[in-house]
Amino acid sequence: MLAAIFRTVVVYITVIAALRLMGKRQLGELQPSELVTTLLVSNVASICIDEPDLPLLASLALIFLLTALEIFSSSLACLSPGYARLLFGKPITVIRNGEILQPALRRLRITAGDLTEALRGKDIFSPAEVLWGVVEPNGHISTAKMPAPGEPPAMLPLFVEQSVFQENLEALGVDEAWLDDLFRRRGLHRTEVLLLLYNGKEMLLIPKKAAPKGRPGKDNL
Amino acid sequence: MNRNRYAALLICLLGVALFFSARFMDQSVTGLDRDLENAYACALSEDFATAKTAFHAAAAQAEQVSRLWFLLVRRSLVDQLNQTLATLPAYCSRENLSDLAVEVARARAQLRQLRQSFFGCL
Repeated sequence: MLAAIFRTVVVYITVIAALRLMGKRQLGELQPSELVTTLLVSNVASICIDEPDLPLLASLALIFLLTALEIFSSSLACLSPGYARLLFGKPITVIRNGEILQPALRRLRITAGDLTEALRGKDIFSPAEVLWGVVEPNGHISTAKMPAPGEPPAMLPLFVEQSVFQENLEALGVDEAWLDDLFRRRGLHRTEVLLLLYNGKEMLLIPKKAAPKGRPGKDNL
Repeated sequence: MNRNRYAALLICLLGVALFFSARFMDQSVTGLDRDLENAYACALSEDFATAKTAFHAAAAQAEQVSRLWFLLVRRSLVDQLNQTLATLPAYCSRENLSDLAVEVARARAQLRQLRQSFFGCL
């Protein structure tokens, strides 16, 4: 009994430390790889508590190994957009200008019922109210509503860390040549751009911060 | 990027812990196996008093290292080995020599299983 209590306390502290080390990412909306890590850590921890026969140190080592792998993996995803796409996937547009994109629904294997249910959860009762709706890699649906008269439409992402949102380019009547031309005029290469949002009128272009830590880059001045 | 340093430190610590655990397992299992072999050799040469003392010492040694074995390998394997080792001194007599052979073989097989539990097929 005492051994079980001791193991439970040690595993509890270890899992808390592991989640703390993995950071806030692990506590919010989980990406697929983060979900797998969290499931594995909780499974190893519960097996370790349930099975006094299993060596404690081996279980703790596995929890810390999973933690380290998760940290390395998420850091690599930050450094390499290609790896991030492989690991997390890309958001997929399901509604464009009030129209449901049925091939995207089939591809995602979600029904129109699932989609309308998710929209109702956001107080949207008709897809016609949605300018742009996407299923995020974590499975949640994000929406930009149709603009009210006189209001500018929502900004759509065209380029996020070397990832081109082709459908948004087409929806705004531009193409990749326009994108490259824009970057060239700003003296930037694709690899130097963090984010580009556009709504046909206004634009938000954020270059990657290249200045050393502690010194603001010229783009931020 | 601080977290990466912690993760790298964690991996290094795990590596060091694994290295020393492996060394400890190897040395303790090999040492105990050698002790059993020597004690059994004494019994075969009919030096039963020395054999009995050696089997007692091996059982005590196993009890001592068990505290660390519990952290590294399945507890049931360690318990089985300790139970077998506890019986060995009682078989140190001419009329129980065949039983002693059986129990020593069992103890050595349990030591191999203990080693396998940590190292796998290595």
